[in-house]
Amino acid sequence: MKPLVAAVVLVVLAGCAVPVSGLRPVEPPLRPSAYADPPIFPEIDSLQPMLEWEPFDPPEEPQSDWASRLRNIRYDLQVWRLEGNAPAELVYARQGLPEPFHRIETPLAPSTRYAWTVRARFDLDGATRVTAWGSEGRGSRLPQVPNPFYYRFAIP
Amino acid sequence: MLALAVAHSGCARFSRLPPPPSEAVRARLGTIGIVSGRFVPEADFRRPAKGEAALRNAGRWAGQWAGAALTPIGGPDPLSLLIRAALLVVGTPFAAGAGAIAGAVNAPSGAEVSEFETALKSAFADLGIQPLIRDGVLGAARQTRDRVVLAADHGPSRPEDEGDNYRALAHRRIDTVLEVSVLALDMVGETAYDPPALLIRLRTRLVRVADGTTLYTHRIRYLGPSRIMEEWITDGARSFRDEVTRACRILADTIVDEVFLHVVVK
Repeated sequence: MKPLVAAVVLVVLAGCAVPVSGLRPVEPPLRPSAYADPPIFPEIDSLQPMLEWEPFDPPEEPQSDWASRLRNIRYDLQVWRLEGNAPAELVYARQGLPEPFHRIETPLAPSTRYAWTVRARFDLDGATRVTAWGSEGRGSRLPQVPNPFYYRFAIP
Repeated sequence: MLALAVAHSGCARFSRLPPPPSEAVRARLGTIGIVSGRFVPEADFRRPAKGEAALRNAGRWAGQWAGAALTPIGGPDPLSLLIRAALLVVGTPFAAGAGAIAGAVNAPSGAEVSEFETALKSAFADLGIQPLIRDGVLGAARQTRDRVVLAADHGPSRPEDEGDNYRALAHRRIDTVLEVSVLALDMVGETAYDPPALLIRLRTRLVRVADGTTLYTHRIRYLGPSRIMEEWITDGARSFRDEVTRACRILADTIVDEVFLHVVVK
């Protein structure tokens, strides 16, 4: 009986998770309310927030040979200032971060809402390659820049 | 703005990006020639003035009211249907009237619209957007790979011209052409009187010179932040010029990422 209950709980929890495209944010976490009308942004009480995301793992099937061909995994990060609900200005960018987390090095503005996104950068057979910029699921392969479904936070 | 993004993604040709070129295709690109469109893209800077905005907004509000009135609430019993029918018949004209008033009050005057259009047309004519995006792609591509050259004397002469196979470039030792063309540029708003935002539509093609085969193509758009009309045109339309330049840089980086670097991870 217990495995059945656990399975039901897992299915329910999985249903609550917001679908993402790319690397999933860990801190601040992705909340569906950030894309509601009106949006409710996760607030960070720091002008230099720590952003964290899930690490990139070489994919399994159908690219199962990647693990042996892939080297030097690092991360690119972008933070955009939002105007209304749209990313309006790229205010912070880092390329080639070695870890799946980063503390913003230059203070952001208070009373401002931001969008942020991250992607993996790695060498595949010696050539640099990148994954898609992370976004809420609706932003997957959206042919629009900047993507309006990047992850979000606000600094009060 | 999210609604605006969704509205503009409604166009089937802009629905989703196709998968990027495969590694097998990338391995055989050789020397790449960058070209851009040799036509002036369609540019629409018209904004509705008071009369047109009133009309558009009347239709919008009436449609929204009718949609709400037709939304089933409660069961399909006769009383519920009667109430909904009454709300539809009585309320829709009022919604249209209120929408027309809101549109007429909030929209700019004809003179303001005309000044806006004239200023942006003049600024746009100065910008040379096709070379701007071409040079942006050239610079970004050279940061990611060797053997990237400019082929300024080639490129489509019309927006939907995909007939050029670039075989004439073979003698210049160019193996593949990366063609980028700005197709259209508009100032758009969610409603008839909202502050407009810059929308740029662009097409990319990757063509193998040896046999003229299109290896990859995509269409992408840039949608920037909204600004009030006065802000766009102040100081010789500086905001507009800056925004077009910034948009071209972002689009160029995105094209280069997509064509040369991006891999889809399952």
